Amino acid sequence: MFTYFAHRVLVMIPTLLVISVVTFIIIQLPPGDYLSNQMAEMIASGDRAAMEKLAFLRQEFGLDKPMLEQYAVWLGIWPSNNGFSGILQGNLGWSFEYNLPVSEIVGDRLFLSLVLNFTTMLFVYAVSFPIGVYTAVRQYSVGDHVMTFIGYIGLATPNFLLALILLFLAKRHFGVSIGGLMDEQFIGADMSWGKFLSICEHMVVPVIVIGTSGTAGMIRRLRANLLDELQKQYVTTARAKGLKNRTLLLKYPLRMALNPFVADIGNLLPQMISGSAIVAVVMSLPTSGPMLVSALQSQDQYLAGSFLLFLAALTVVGMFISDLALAALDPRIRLGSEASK
Amino acid sequence: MNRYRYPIKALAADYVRAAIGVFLPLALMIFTKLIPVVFYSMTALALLFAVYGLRTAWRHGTVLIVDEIGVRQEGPLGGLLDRKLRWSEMRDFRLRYYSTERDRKGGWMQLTLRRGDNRDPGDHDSGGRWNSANRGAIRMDSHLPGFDEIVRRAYLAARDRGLAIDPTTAANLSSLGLGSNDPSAAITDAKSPS
Repeated sequence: MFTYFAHRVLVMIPTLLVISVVTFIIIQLPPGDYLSNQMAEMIASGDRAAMEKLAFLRQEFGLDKPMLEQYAVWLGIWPSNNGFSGILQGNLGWSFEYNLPVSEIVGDRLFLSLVLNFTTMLFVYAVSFPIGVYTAVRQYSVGDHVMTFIGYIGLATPNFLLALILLFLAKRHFGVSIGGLMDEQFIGADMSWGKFLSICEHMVVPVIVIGTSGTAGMIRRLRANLLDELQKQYVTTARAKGLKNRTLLLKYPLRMALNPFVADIGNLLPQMISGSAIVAVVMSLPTSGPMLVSALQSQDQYLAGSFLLFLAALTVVGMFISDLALAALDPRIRLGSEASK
Repeated sequence: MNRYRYPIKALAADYVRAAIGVFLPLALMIFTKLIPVVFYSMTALALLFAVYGLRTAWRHGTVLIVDEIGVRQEGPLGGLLDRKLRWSEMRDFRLRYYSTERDRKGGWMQLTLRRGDNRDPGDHDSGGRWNSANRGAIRMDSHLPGFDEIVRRAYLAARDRGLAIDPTTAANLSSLGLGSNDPSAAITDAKSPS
């Protein structure tokens, strides 16, 4: 397992590097940049002083340099005018739109995105695991039918629609707005116990909204896998040998059925992150999603790049955890695979 | 008696991995100024791959001796890291398959053998080679020439002792043409001695 861990870590490094290259290329793909767009407006209005300032900024941030050099400087593996000053040094760049360092703008939002997505993931697994096991063990019972019905609704309802419905119902019947991730008095304030509680209270609805489809999908998958395993010959054999139902379930079929369940961590994270971006817009959540969309629209390249890199890194880490869990759970050869010598 | 050791060709890739894993973070730490969180991450990476490199070097110098009595692992450091296991004392037999690729091809197998605690302290052969009381697991992977043969011997010993073979091991054994891939064959009463 140690060897596997080391190999898997080593695979992550080039993966993250390739992702950072692709991210940088994507944000550079549209013609021009934020400053050239601004310059066009300045020329139209005849503002010579501002144009000189923009030319200075272009030189200062190395936007007149080749793309490869810009990338290396951005990452922090190539010196700029100020020495090494890139992501590896904690400098995420400058947001032209907000006229502030990116790290100052994204700090809270990245943290809240991380907390929201992590909590949603916990919610998905905590809810889907017992329900998935129950519906498989008690197949065709009333509970199974009810859960299956709810699961189908969860699968079929888009997250943003569920968010809109909940917003509407909360306003209409309770007279409260459930948007945002904290009470207004805590926005911009330092973290405190009150702010933490406010975040926890406000997070319930977004977590349910973002996690519903994932939970429903997980329940269906676990139920199907477990039913498949429970109908196999070895379960009958084990029962015939006198193994208790609970011991049998925990020791063999459940362990087998968990493989796809665990493997889905890697797929669930990007789905949740992209899904949460839309929900964040609908519910006015101060997470990375709305700001990322705005940064991409305005070609605020360092801001957009930092967000994309963070989200991609989160996905890579998710895949890493998923692979480790899978390797620990069921390190078996698959049909068609073979051990190398 | 057969002696097995990892050839340099089988370990070259591991040495390269260890070198990359150590020198890349070190280069970043030396040539650029990193923020603390990145610095500590790079230190952890460098340490991880330093251990990996040392482990590879240790595997390189280790000899596995397999005979009808059991299996012995004799490394360059000797002492605590050497292991001895009689087939008759084997308590645990696991065969795992690991791959870092999505299609799970190009991976490697790892065989883990563990001894039980019920060894008679006075039980040793005439040469005194089996009277050591160390209890650690013996691990080897499919890069070792003769791996299939060792697995076969271990499997036969496990079968003779009536050891429980978990479904994962059963499936991996099956891919080597050993045993049956039917998990029902692997299920034994958990209370029975193994």
